[in-house]
Amino acid sequence: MTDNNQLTCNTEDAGDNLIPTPKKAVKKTCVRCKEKPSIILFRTDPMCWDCYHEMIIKKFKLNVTRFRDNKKDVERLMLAVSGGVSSRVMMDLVSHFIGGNGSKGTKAKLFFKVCVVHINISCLDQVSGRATEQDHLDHAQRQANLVRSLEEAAQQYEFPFYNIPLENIYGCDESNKKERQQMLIDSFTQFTSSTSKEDILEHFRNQLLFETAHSLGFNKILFGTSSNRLATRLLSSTSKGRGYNVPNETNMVDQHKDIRFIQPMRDFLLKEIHIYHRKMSFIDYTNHNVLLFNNNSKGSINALCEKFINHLQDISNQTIHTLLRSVDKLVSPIDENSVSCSICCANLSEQEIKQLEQYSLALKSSSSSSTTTSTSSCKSSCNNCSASSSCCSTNNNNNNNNNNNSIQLTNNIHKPTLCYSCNQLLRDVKQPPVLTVVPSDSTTTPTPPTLPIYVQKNSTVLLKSYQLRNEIKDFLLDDDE
Amino acid sequence: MDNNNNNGGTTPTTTTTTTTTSTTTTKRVAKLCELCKVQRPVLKRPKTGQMICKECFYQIFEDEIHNTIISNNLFQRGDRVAIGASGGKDSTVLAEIMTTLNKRHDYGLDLFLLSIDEGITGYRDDSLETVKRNQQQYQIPLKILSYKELYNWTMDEIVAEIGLKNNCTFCGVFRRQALDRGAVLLGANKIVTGHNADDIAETVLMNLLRGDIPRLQRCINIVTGSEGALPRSKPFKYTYQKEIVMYAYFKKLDYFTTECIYAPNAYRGHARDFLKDLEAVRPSIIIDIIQSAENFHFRDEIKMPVQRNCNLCGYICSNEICMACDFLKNLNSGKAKYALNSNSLKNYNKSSNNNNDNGTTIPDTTPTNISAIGFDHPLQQQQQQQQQSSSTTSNS
Repeated sequence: MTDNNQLTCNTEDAGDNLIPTPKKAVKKTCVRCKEKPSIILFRTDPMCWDCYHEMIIKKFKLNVTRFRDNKKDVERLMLAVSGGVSSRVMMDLVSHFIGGNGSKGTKAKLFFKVCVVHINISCLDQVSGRATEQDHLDHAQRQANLVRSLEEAAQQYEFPFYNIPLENIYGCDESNKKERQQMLIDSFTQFTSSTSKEDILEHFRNQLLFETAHSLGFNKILFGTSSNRLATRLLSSTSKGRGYNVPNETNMVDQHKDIRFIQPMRDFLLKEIHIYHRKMSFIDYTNHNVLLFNNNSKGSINALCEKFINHLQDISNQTIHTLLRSVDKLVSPIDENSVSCSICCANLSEQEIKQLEQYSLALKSSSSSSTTTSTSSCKSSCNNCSASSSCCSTNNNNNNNNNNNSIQLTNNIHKPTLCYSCNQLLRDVKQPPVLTVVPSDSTTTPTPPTLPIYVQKNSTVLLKSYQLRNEIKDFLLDDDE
Repeated sequence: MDNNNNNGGTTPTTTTTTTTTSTTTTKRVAKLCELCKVQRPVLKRPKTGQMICKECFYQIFEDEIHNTIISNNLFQRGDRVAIGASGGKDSTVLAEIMTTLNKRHDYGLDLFLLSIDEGITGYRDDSLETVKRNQQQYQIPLKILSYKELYNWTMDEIVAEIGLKNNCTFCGVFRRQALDRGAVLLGANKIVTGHNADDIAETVLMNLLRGDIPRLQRCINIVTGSEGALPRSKPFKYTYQKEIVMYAYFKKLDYFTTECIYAPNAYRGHARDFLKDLEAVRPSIIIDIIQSAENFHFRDEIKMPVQRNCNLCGYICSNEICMACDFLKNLNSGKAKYALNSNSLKNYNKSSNNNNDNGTTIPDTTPTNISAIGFDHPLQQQQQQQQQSSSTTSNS
């Protein structure tokens, strides 16, 4: 009877705990060349290093070249590297397939122009909540090693390397570097939860990459995000209300205006990338970003999602593939009327666009009163609004009878120009100090949270275009007409 | 009201009394309800974090559900609505809310309580007692329909047969059909269930994790099955489970709290725990997930299963026979324990096609009483009526 039970373990009464899938005995020789000993179980196939290397380059190349518009044009790829395992491997893979160091042909090199960009977040060390001075020193040392190793790697592959500090999101004037760093730190400390800090870092980083690609003249940015990370992002973005844009964020390609964000490592599990990394004897200097702001006992949404995915992946190794297959069936509709959020550049949903239209109409009608409104009253009205979670909510369950059409401004940002998730993000900003209370131990007034100029610019431009549209809307023709 | 507001809203900074009195005023004033600014708050709303009093909570809770009902146009005047009642907190609050709102806003609905007795000793028999008490309290007709009556199996017997591995799948499929059959017996044209926002967010995550795109598309709808004769709606789609518990607690509602004794659904348990962790970090996460799922756009080429009627019992399904009939067939033939692992439906369809080719008939393993209860079917009847009317019009 016990034997029978063991044989039919799938139908056994499971009780409360799920049973991890039993590990299969791995064949010792490679399934492809059938000669060399296997080093990795790729999906279900045992493979030797040479076959695995060849296959991974082939898959990677396919993922990059499938988005080429014209094969005769020079392809301009910008590699966004954090210095972590995946991006380090990506650099190596790119150099292999375009005929760089160690590969046979060099012809492909003529058709590819590649540069490496690293966004340096070392100035955020002050908001990380690290305990001791030693920790800070260790981190600074690590960061310096990271940049040096990336620079050396880029030199080795003959790619130009750019180290862009994150404070450049506030401009790139060298004379006020310290001020910009302080502004960045101030804006990060204004967010209370580590989730919001991580998210705003992600948005700033993407924006900075976008601007850098523009200024350097590259139209494609390659990211080294592994399938584990993308599956985590799928869950975390869904949890943050970014459903409309989830397919863009997790699929192979995401069109940001005229620049494409490509995820060529989407097919590879972190495990597979790590094996490559170890085999090539690369050194990982990174501190994981999820720990960067981990000053909260509850952790962040991103960290919880990662933990959950890892847990499920341990139970069933198909979890990540299933999740990514699910998102393949989703699509973010993009057309000429698409409008992007002022902070994260994600497309706004139809409902959000409608709200924006209504808002721009209301703004026009009450423009005279809004210009006379003082900054403090704007802020206080906004705070009231966020406390009752009513200002831009699209859910019909919230009883928002008032304030719906009133104008709310935080640092001159018009909230309807932001997506649902970024509005949630701004609700996490600490309450600005009441103006009548003078701080007892300092004579200077506290600085308000300052978001980079691009946010305000996007917001103003977007609103202006909607106001213009309202003026000429009577003369615009619909498809139906 | 304004006077109260002014009195209550007096801030400590503006009081010009002595220091001792000002501190006591500060304490009292600081704790006023954020909505009415009169009463002392007794709870922090899980959804928004607002500190509000009991009366304001009742008001906002009921108003939100009323808004959901009105904005989604869930009911028409004269509808006969069956409330799926298990005796648990969700369905008890649903019964209370539906009767309250029906009276207050004059929806003009005929309400019924509909309970399904799965035949789980020590669980359902106790919870049904609660439903019976609810019937007395709200004065709504109650119909109890049992699995034994319908399928000739109780869940106790099914668990004895198949074990605890897939029992929830059987129970879920049977209950869904039983609710429809019960509603038909009551002459109802709509069913409401107590699925809350937490349930829906959890289902969204589960369907993503399982890669079940058709269900992912469907689970977010506030009304499902509208293509059939019996649409089901979820008035609690945007209502937090914690607020339902609060409402039941403050209203001192009589509900049954024990978990089902056969419910070790480990995978859903993981999703539930995960959601609880997320909610602790950011309380709005449940509404955010629903917001996300409402904004999912699916590729056009995804094939949705074509709805048709079961060959054996006539229930709406997407295969030749419905899941309930397939499960029953396996239960009756003693193969149920293995059937879920070997894609039985396909095998069955193949074998039934072969049988037809040979000129033999499909063995009818459906219990005799299944077709006698409820469905003979509203759908079939509807179709027949449509066919008749079309034939008469064509004749004329």
